[in-house]
Amino acid sequence: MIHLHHLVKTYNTRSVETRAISEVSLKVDRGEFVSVMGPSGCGKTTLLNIIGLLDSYDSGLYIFNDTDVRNLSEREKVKLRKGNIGFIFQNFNLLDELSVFENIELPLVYLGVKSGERKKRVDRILEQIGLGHRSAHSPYELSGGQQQRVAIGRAIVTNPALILADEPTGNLDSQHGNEIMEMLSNLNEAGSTIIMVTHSMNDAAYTNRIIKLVDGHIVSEKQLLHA
Amino acid sequence: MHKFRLKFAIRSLMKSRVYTLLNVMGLAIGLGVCIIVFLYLRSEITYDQHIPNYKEIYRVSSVFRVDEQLEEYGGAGVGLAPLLEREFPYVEGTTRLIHINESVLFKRPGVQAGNAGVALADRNYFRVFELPFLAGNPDNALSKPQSIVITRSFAEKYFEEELPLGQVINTNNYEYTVTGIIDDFPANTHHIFSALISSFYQDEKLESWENSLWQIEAHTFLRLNKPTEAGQLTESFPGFYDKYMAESGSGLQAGYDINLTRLDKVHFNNHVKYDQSSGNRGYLYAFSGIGLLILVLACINYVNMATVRSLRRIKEAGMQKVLGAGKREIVYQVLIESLVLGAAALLVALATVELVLEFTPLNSIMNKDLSLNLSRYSSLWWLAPLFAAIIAFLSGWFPAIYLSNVPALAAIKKGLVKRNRGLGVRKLLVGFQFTASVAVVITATLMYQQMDYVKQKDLGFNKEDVLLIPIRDTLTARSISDIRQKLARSPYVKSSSSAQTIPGKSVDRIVINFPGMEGVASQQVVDFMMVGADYFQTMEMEFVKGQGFNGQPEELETYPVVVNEAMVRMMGWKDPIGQQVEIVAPGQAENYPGQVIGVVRDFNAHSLHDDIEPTIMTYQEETAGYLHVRVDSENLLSALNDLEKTFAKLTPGVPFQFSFLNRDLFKLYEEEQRQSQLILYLTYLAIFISFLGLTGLASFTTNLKTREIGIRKVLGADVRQVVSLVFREMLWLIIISVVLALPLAYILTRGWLSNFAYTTNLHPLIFVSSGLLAILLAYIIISYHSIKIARVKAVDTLKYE
Ligand SMILES: Nc1ncnc2c1ncn2[C@@H]1O[C@H](COP(=O)(O)OP(=O)(O)OP(=O)(O)O)[C@@H](O)[C@H]1O
Ligand SMILES: [Mg+2]
Repeated sequence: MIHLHHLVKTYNTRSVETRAISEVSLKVDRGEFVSVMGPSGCGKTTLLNIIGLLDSYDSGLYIFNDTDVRNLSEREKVKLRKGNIGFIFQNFNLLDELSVFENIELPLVYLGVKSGERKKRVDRILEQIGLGHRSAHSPYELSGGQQQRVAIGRAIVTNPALILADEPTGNLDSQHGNEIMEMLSNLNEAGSTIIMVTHSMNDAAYTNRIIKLVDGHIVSEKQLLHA
Repeated sequence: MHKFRLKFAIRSLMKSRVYTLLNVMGLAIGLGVCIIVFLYLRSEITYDQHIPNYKEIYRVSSVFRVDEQLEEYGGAGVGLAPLLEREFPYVEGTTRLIHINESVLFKRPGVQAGNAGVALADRNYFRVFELPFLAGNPDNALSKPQSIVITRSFAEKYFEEELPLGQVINTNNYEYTVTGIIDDFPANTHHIFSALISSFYQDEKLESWENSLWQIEAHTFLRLNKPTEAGQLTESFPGFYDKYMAESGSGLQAGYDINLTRLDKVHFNNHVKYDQSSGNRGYLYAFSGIGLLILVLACINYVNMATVRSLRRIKEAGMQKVLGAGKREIVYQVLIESLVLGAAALLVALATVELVLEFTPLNSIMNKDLSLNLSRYSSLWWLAPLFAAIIAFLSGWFPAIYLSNVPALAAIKKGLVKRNRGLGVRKLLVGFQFTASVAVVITATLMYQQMDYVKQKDLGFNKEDVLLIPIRDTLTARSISDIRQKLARSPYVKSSSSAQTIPGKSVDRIVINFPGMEGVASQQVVDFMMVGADYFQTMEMEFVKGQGFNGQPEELETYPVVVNEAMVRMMGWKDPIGQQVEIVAPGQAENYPGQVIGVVRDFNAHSLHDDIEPTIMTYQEETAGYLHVRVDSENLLSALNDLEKTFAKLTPGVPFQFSFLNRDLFKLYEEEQRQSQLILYLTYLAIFISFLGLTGLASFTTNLKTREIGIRKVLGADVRQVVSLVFREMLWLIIISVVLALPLAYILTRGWLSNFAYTTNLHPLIFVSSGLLAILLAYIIISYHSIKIARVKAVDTLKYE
């Protein structure tokens, strides 16, 4: 599903040139649950953003679902992203103006789903994340863990083939963190492909494969076997 | 989908309430002013169009040629209309109208008497003006003498419950029968009255018609079937002149011609004399300009504030993109918000306009009866919303594009979007706002000063506490000395005198010969006044030399005259007393010889628009004009009571009317008074709008500096230092705007003041203090915003992305 080949990304700031991603090659198949680890500043977020079509790259090849994304226009990227990729962030990034229900509904609105159908799907998701009784609340009225569950709900409501999560448990205590990881692995078992950036070995243990990044290079890959 | 968007828009507007409130108010002001300007313009350009057949009616004006000078009058002799009808068969109808300028007192038993503006018309009036009748028959409503056609409000006032048709109503001298009721006139009509009395029944002989042609008496209207006939008529008028007027014309050494103006064009035909007050295109342009200016200022605000808000929404926009929104969706979202704001602003604007027109003196200042009558201005139904939508759309465009260009990555990363883009332009716009506001404030202050000066200025006579009673009929004129004697006994009357004219109003010009002089100096045109005994005492005028008139002069060889200082200066008289003059009486063989017996201190016989002219005054007791009565200001009511009793006794049947000299004089500046009031309104708006603009910019600047402020605070800066950090950023902008505003205001007021011959001093202090005040105000607004941020805990501002 994802195929990176000698991918390079450099940032030019003032006099310094930072090579955030350096000759990274990577294949992720459908149904995998991959975690990306490495020291701060090694390029994890950059990699995830490129995979999520949020950021560009300088050279190399990136094929997403059999499409070479190099020469896609902004509009085509939006089209490809919509409904195919869901995002989860460390700081949740929910919209305060909207209720829990409406936050989850938003991607469906952009997809052009009809309102009746939207309600059905959001209700199902609310149930799945266990926040049915909070649907009319504002995000800031929820705990961090609950907010992250809403963010996950929002990421999966369109049934995306790929879920990208950047330190989803970074702002949570270990109990809530584990709850979130349980949800993610359930989603993975239900068929979603997930790529997750994390600093926590505990979280990484939920995944099938750990990729270690140092200074923009992949230095090791480890397959995890679950009992 | 749309519902969701709308909900989102309203929700996010509600979230930043202050922003929304300020923005709605700003936009509402712009729209409100535009609506009022629209109503004003409509009212001006639809003059007289309530008359169904206005396109067929032409006003006849008379063009006189005397000494190669052309003068046009908005009326004609009473015989012109019937003669034109006789000579030119294609003239469908004619009518004549005479306004009675003083209002007439109407009485009815059991009903309170009151005044009403009345006009006289001939029997054909309603055949030319096809005004719909509420009751009565237009064909013969005015065909009998003593008939009166009244307007709806006149009927309501005097007849209350009763049906007025066929009823009788009295004035002091006559009894009229109501023969018709018409609707009230709108304010935008040239000839307005509340009752129309049938007239012109005097001898309608050809000879008297012909004799009338050189006198302007009646407003005259023609009804023509085809527009081409107007040109045809004016072209063939010389034939008419040769037939009826050439003979008398050659005797007078004068010429005569007519002009035809279609009824709806009369309003802006304002060079014509003897006319009802007419419109001024300059006003039209000024009003439109003001409307546009306010609208532009309001839109600048909107863009500014929306941009400030966009800054706080960069992350949100990025997030929407991450979730699958494209550029188009973001633009759409922002524009919907803009439209929601625009709709709210429109509602506020409509409500405000209604309140302003209903409860403030704006209408009377503009001399209009504007109202938000949507049935009268049906186009407002769609025009106003459309206009609001366009404005909202245009103003929302810049923030929409700005936000839609935010990359998705901005949701995650800082510093991706340049936050101060367009800051220069925005500063320029706010500077423009500020310049305009300061200029308007200074202009308003100076105008106010000048109006105050006009009220206070020493005119050379004491204009306070003088009552004026018009002398119109011969009975009153003949009784003047009796009346004055009786008044002299009242303890509340200090002095009284009659005079033909009131200073400031219609002072005559006259030719004077100076027998002792040669060449040009031997003949001069000067101001001329005829005054009665005790005039100088009543008006409290000072004598520089000599004295005033003492009672009825005996049969003298020469007539005593009083002159003013300007006259003495012009003639260079060393010893003015005893100088000989000859008053040229036009049309009479002999001149009146006069001798100067006194010189009065210069006084303003004209309004302060004009300089003091050399003036000559003669004695004349029995004259039509005005009785001037100086009363004891402490006992004004008692004085009035005595006056009314005296007149009732000596001139029974003549309605008692009076006015105050000082108020009459101030009416000379009605136009300027009106302008200065309008400017005052404008000032409030401008101040408010630039307050909004400054608020927007200040919060924008502090916003950009939030992080910097936080760090500085951590390092130990106090609130004052933080304020000055932001203020310094904007100080130059404000100073430059103020500096630019000063000459602008100077130019504006200079032009306005040049209408006056006498002006208050343009004190530089006004300019300086207005400028300083503006800077102070700006400082306060900026402080408020910076302090708000400076007070926030440093940790929180640091977290702010
Ligand atoms: N906009 C940018 N401009 C310049 N350099 C950047 C930019 N964004 C990231 N970098 C650099 O690219 C490198 C990789 O950054 P990235 O955010 O991907 O790291 P990360 O692995 O996610 O770190 P962390 O664990 O701290 O989140 C870093 O050295 C960073 O300094
Ligand atoms: Mg990162």
